[in-house]
Amino acid sequence: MATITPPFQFADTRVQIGHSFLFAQEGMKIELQDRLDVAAMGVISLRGDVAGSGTDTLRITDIGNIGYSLPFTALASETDTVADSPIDLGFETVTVGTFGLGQSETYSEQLFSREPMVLLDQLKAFIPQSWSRTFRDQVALTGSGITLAVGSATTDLSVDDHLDLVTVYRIAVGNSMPMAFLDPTQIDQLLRSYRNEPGFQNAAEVFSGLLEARDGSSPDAQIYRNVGGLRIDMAVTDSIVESGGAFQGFAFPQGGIGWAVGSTIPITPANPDRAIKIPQFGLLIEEDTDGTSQTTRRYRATSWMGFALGSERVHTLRRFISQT
Amino acid sequence: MPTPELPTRTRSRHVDVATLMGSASVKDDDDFSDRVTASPTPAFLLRHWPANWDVSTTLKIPTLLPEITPHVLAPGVNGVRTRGRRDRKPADAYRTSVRDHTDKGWIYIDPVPLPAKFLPGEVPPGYYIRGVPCQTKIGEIPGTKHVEAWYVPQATLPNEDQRFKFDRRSYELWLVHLVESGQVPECLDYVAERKLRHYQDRAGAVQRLHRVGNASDKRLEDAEVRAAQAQVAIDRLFGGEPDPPAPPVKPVSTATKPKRGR
Repeated sequence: MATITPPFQFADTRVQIGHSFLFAQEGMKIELQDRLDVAAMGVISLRGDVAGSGTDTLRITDIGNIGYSLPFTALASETDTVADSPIDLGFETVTVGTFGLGQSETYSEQLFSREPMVLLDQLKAFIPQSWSRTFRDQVALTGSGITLAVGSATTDLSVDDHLDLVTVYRIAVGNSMPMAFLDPTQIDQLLRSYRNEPGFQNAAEVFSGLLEARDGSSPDAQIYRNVGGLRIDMAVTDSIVESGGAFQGFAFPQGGIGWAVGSTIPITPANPDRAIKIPQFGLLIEEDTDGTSQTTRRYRATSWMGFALGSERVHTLRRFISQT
Repeated sequence: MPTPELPTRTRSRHVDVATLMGSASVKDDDDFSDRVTASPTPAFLLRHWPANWDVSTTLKIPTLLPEITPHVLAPGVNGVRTRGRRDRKPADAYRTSVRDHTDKGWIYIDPVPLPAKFLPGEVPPGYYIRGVPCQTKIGEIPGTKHVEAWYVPQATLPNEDQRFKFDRRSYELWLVHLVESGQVPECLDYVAERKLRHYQDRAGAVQRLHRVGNASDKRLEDAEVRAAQAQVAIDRLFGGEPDPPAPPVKPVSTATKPKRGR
């Protein structure tokens, strides 16, 4: 009990019957995130499903020295023997790995909490985004293993590097258009390089379109279409690997990087009533207790997927690098 | 209240990477006190593709240096498996992948301790890969951030992810050492010539654009400097001993050759 002396001040009554703060009448804000959904872009080809196959490794075969690669031989005379031609066989492999994510809460948390967003039922709704983030990270790790590179580990990404990338795909006949994945710093280096070019400054619309700021809330904010009019789309992500003082960005045509999934249809989880399967993601979400305490609730999401570069006999792949 | 002291250096421990057919073991400890704020990253092996070379930027004399890239040992990526009970050593998960890439032509760098002169001064002696004990910003989940030895931790504010600075000077000295020690074979002639031609072609194209006002002065300068550096590096590569003088050409004799004796 406290005596409030006149004049009655809020500073005194607040302590007894007021609040330190009031929660705003709006939903919780989500922190800034890299939202690039590479899986949804459709540029990474699904090679196959290893579920029920007896192996965790998928083999993708390719053939060469046929068709356009195998011309006829001119015969020197009417009676010359036609020699039989060989074929070229090769393969690439995708090995499926296992990925996991989990969160837990006590029953007391469920009982007393005022904010539904922090409860497991709401948090589980974000699992597809976590899966997408993992997918993107694995694609970036895979891309860092591409053999040849355009650009340099000791210079910023420039117009000339961009032109060199275009040259690669112009020279390699038969390729479909590539897509590039870059670190945000790389795209900034490249766009600043364009800014310095007098030729671009004469085309105001192109110039401003190239250098304008972007609305980060837009789904396409991290994709730069037809950069510089050279018909290579560039996606920007923080997942790009850094090595040797350089960003290991990369470019590949559709299918140049592939993935394999382990469909979760065959799995019978321990708690089938509380399990969700998303077979096309190789994803299983199940609930249990954490084992040590019976007053907790826990979810565990497991995914089976793997990534690998396509054969360089079939696709033209390049790392697109620049200094950090 | 005195100003908190910013960390000036992060202790980085060795990652015991043995031979390619041995085990790469990462020793995590439970000591949270020395962990930096960063997300963990997978371990890697360093390797070289024989066609990948570039000109140095920090050495006194421009030199053609091999490009070294990582083979990230993350399960589910480029043939690396998730370990099972039968995989006693971590290397069992990536052994097949490394063998496949070696068969394709990749040259893996021997994981041997590096001499101190090839490392930044702030980094203790050890291998080319370092494990930095870390914990995530959210949740303080412990792990290990694997970096190359030339990534030197920098003083970082407490709530930021740990910053690193790449020491290119010592890195390029190590690249020179790789070639001199034979771990990486010397650059093939046609690869070197192709690199030179690449820089020369670029300089020529930019010069033409600059003449008609379609290229900036900086772009021209960068292209010309790089082409000049490449020329010096390639000349040095092909320098060696001067060619011996050509033997004098004997005049063709018009005298009748004697018949072979019978």
